[in-house]
Amino acid sequence: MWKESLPAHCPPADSELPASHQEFFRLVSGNPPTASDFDSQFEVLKKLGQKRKFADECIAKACSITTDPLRLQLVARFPLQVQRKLNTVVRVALTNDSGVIKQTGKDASHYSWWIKGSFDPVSASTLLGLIK
Amino acid sequence: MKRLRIVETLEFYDGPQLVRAVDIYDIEYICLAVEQSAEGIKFLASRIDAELMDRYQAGQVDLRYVFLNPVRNARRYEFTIADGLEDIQRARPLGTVPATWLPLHGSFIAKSRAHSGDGVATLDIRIDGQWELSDFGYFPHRYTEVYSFIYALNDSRKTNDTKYQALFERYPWRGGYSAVNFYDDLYAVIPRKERLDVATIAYASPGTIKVRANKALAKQIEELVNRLSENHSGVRDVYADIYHQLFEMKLLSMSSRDKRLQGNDRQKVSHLFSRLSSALNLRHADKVERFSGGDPLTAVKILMAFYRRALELTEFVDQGRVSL
Repeated sequence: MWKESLPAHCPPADSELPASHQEFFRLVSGNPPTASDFDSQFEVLKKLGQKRKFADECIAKACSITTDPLRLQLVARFPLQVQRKLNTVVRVALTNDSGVIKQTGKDASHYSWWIKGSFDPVSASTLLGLIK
Repeated sequence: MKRLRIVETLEFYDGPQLVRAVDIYDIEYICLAVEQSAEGIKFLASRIDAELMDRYQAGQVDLRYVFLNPVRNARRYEFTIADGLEDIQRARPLGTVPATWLPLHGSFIAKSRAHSGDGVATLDIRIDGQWELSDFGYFPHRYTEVYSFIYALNDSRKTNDTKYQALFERYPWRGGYSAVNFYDDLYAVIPRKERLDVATIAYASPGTIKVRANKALAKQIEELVNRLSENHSGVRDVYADIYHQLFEMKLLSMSSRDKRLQGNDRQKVSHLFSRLSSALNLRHADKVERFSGGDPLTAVKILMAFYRRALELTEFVDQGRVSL
């Protein structure tokens, strides 16, 4: 059902379906994006060979999205994003079939997104711009 | 090895990207995720203090600057987290920081998240006509001085009264650099999140300078400038008369350090202060006298210097080049 195998009680009970009026943005590596641009941190580290446990595996298996595209101008300049060439901002059209979201972290614009296995985030993405 | 305890996640995006940590002496470090590998996520830790953190969070310096300029030029460290942020991290001292571990230029905190104080808003200062490049230095400088003075009079924090008293009594007010230094010092008292920040400048005819400022204080400046604009000659006559009387009393180039006013002279100068204060109709103008240690000569000279600055702002409005 979910894109990744989630631990018990994940997604959290207070996660929600995205509201139709909400707009979400994510950094990707180009236009069009690739499927791996929507990898969670867990997936990225798994591909690198990490086997250790996460303190919060549920959050680690979510994909970050934001309602504030300006915030991505900073995030894109961080080393981890630079190394993965994540310098393109896309608007992701979420629907009731795309999974569930929850606002997480101290930044009110940041959401964790648990993606449904049947949802294709690549085709739901439209280019917003390139961060130079 | 240094033991660092992570106390706050500052930026989270597909995992912690930027965190704040403290060592066993509560010395603060800002730590940036720099590499991912089979071992986990490697962080670069650089010493920071409240001042530098404040400047970063106000958008005055970017994150690259923060990591290139650790407080006290302190050694930087690296550590790797594998399974969460709760544990104490054992950080290793680092020699040279690899270039790929630094944030790119322009890594400013998003404007939408930059710290701003209560009551701070973005205001439009509309500009028109022809501006020389130097005007873009001159006008904001005068605006900042007027803002600093009004801020001091409206500052309700009792703890700052001592600071203002020391500052108002610091300079001799015989002319020269007293006023310049005074206003620089006044501005330094304003918390960073309530200082004047430029949001945008659009130079055209008409154009706009968008400034983040304390809204209530900006309103007071607008009201003052409009009052002066409408009653130029009235206030100017009061100022000219006070100037003349101080000249006659040989007090223009003299400070209370040279001559302690007593009796009639003291009363007379105190009256001059009251006249200018009434003409300017400033809120909390009584604080000028209080902060000046009850010395009317210092108080009136400070108020005269303020008037000259407010008048210069008003001239921009009168010329039609600025609309507050």
